[in-house]
Amino acid sequence: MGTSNYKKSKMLLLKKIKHVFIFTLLIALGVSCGSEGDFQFDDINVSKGGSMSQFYIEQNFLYVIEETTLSIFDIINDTPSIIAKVDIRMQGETIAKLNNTLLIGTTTGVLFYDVSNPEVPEQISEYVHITSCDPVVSDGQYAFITLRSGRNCGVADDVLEIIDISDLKNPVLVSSYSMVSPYGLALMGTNLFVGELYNGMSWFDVSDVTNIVLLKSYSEIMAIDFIVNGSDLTITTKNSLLQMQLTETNELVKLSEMVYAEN
Amino acid sequence: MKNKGHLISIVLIITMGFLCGCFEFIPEFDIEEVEGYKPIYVDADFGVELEAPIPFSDQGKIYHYSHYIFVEEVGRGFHIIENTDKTNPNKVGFFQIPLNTNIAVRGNIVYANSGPHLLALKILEDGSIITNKLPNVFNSANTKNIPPVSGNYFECVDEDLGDVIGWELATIKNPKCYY
Repeated sequence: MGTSNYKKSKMLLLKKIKHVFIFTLLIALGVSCGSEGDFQFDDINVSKGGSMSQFYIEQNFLYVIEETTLSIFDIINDTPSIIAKVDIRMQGETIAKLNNTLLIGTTTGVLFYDVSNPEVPEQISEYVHITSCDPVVSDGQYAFITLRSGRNCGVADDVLEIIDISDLKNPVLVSSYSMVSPYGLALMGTNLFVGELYNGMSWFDVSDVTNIVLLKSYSEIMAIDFIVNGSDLTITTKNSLLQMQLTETNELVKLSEMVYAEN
Repeated sequence: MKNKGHLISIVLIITMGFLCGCFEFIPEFDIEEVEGYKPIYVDADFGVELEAPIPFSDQGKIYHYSHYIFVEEVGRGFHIIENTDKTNPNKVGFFQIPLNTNIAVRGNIVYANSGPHLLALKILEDGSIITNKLPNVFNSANTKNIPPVSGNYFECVDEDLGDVIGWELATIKNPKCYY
């Protein structure tokens, strides 16, 4: 009897979850199909990953970096089809996209690929650095890379490098700063957040890229990676899923914290 | 001249054979228990279902979609967190996907890797999920039915048990295969 009640409540819960999920998906679809007969696929919501993602989704394409291969999938139909597979000749770690350019973080540098024609991705340039692990974020003018030494990452210093990418054919190092053990990073306007795991989280003002200023360090936030949504910052730490918000008075306030061990 | 060439070849082949004979490890199969590779199988018609929440144990990457946050459970799938109220997020479900490390969502389709395959999970209005699979598109594909690292014993693949999507290190009993 107890078991069947449990099953029943589990079923109901699942049903509820499904409904909530479907509801959201329908809203997302509804928004995109506002005007009849005019499917604007561009408006369909897509997910956003952290700086350490290996999948990047946008409009009709899914970009995947895996080991030394860049794969591009056409996702217009229910079953995706692979339209490009490129050997990038470096160990790929992270992928991000800016306009028509893919930014691929590898263990030996950042690669820039033009994907204006996704069937024929073309390498524009590469920014080579010491062997390390390196997620990359960018505002279009500058790319911010964290280089971390350690297991699987090669021997190197732990640094943050800022590269001028206004001329994508010729990325130029602007400045370099020592970090402790940088993992993921996030850019919110002129604020840069760097996750340093056991060494906490650092918040920098990067308005002047030649002289970035440490605004605050949080030793208690063992941050690994981030997602920025407007002024909201979702952080995955060693212990929790933490949500913070940058207020208009430039204060970082905690919205919630879901502790992994308790959930 | 031609004969000389042949002679050199033969000597080389014999030498190589001799060297290989000396250095190559010839596995014994008369052992009870050993550390080796074990195939990870999934049913050929494997489909993903939305499941009740499970505890976090080895959390990885995070994603945002609409008012949801997804948290990777390394290699097993991802947690679904309902986040309409950012001050009070709620874990509401789990997608179990073997050997999954990355996802991305667009509209009502969730894209997820599962070993060598790319899955497209279409979530229907009634809550059911259609799993479409684009097989063997990733490098981690091991379609040859041998483990990723040579020099190890492994549990021979039994195709009746399903589709091999990866390998795990385990203590295996009485192995009959070696690579």
